Amino acid sequence: MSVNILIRFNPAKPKAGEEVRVQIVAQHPMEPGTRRDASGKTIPADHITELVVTFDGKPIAVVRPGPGTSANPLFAFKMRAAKAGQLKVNLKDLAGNSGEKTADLALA
Amino acid sequence: MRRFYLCFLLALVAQVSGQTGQPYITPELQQLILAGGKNYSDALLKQAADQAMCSRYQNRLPAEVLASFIEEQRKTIKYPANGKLMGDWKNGDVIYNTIARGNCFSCHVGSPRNIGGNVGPSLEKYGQRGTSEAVQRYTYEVIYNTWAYFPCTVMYRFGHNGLLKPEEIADVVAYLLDPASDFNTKPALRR
Amino acid sequence: MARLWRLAVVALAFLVPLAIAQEDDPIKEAEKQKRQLLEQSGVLPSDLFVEQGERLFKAKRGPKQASLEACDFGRGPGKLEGVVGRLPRYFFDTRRVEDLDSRIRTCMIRLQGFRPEEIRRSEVVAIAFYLASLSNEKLVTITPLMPQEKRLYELGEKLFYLRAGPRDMSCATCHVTYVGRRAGVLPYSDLLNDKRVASHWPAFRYSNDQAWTMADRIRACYTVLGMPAPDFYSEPIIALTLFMNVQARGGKMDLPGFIR
Repeated sequence: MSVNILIRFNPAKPKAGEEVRVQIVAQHPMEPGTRRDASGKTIPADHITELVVTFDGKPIAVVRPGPGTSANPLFAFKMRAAKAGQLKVNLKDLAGNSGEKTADLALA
Repeated sequence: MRRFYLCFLLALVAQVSGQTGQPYITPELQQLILAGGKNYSDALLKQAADQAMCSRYQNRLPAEVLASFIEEQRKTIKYPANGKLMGDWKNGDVIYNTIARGNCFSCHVGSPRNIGGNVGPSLEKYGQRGTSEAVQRYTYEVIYNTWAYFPCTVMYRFGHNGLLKPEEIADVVAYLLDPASDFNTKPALRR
Repeated sequence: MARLWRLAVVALAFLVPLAIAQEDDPIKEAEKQKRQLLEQSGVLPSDLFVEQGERLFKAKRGPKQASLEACDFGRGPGKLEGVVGRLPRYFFDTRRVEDLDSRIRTCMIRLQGFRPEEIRRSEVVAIAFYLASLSNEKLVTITPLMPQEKRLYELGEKLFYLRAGPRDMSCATCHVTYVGRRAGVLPYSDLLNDKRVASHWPAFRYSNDQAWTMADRIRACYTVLGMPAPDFYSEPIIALTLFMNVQARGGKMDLPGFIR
């Protein structure tokens, strides 16, 4: 099953050389494995283990979330919009599911 | 002959408008409600005649039905077995300030423990009214069945609908009127 | 000089209530929260549901392996823009008046072959969010014209004003008789006159982090009324929705909604 990912740039169309914020949201329950359900049974762990961000094929960020990261997590970081290109996000989780999303960064 | 027909017509109209038995829930509305599921329809179809009147007249009862309506509401009021209209204010404090019980603070300002709402009038310094028998009786009766004083108002009819027992209502009366009660010795919490 | 001071005081007297009023209008407060959230994270929670709904809508699913793209939401199969502002309405294929939720369910059964018990509420909500996003900034144009729509509107109105239960309450108790008053955090919204109220469903409620449609809202209200809620996709929900949406006719929809 593939995990839903949303990517936003802020500003949406930065000027060349301007700092741009990349905001990535993954739709995932991120169960830590320590919570219990209504009957008292432990809910098994199910969270994202690795999220890799590449820009035109070059890796620019790797995140390894743990059980402490909340559901539907937001990953945000700043980068310099040196040139237009394609941002790609790949992730995988404990259950073996993966997600992939691309977004084109255009310059103003 | 015409006069007879006119009188007959007027009598008929008077009969129909004064009829409290006319159902608010018509057969068609009943069918709609049944489509909502068993639990839903069981609850709604139990609508009482007085609830139906308030629904039909959208809470503004016409003058000709008002007097009998209020009388019927008064008749439902029951008092505590020991005859005491003021009980234990400490218990009344809990009832007043607990959402699952009286939940009075949600609509009324006055509690020193919870910010009050403004759906109902402020009860701040309610104890200033004193503890005469008349004041106790009025307070008790409004809480038991508010429609005896304010027909079709929104306040729950705590005693009539079984939400609070007569003894619990007496406790709330004490919370409001007892000069030693926190309600009267501490300032009301405001927004 | 004295006149200037007086003028300043008068001006302040006008502005201060305005400032407080701004805070007290829950819809304005929600707009402020939405702006802040967008600034901080760039994504609204509703975006996730919209995206999920779009995937569910376009994927070939169910025993018939079909998408929902052929579903008629009131403008004909495949035409989705602005449909939320025209629902509930009468549909000839089912011969009943249907709202957004029940229409999605109907198409999942008829087009995709799902059995009624296989319909998952979370999927219906996601698809509703997707369709809502396609009605954003469009006008509410709903007008009961078919006799079935007119009849259901009247019944919905009666149901709206029906007082029952241990609390003697109806929908109108809060939203008409005591409109503007407050028994908790939020003042009761003016359903009959404020066109923003009924038209902001489906919405994301940031007070409990949940995505709700109008059906969820109606069912939650019945809990407040002290009565059991009507079943999902049932006639009473459609009747009440029809009555309320007509009150919002002419309003511009802000969808998916973002509210407390």
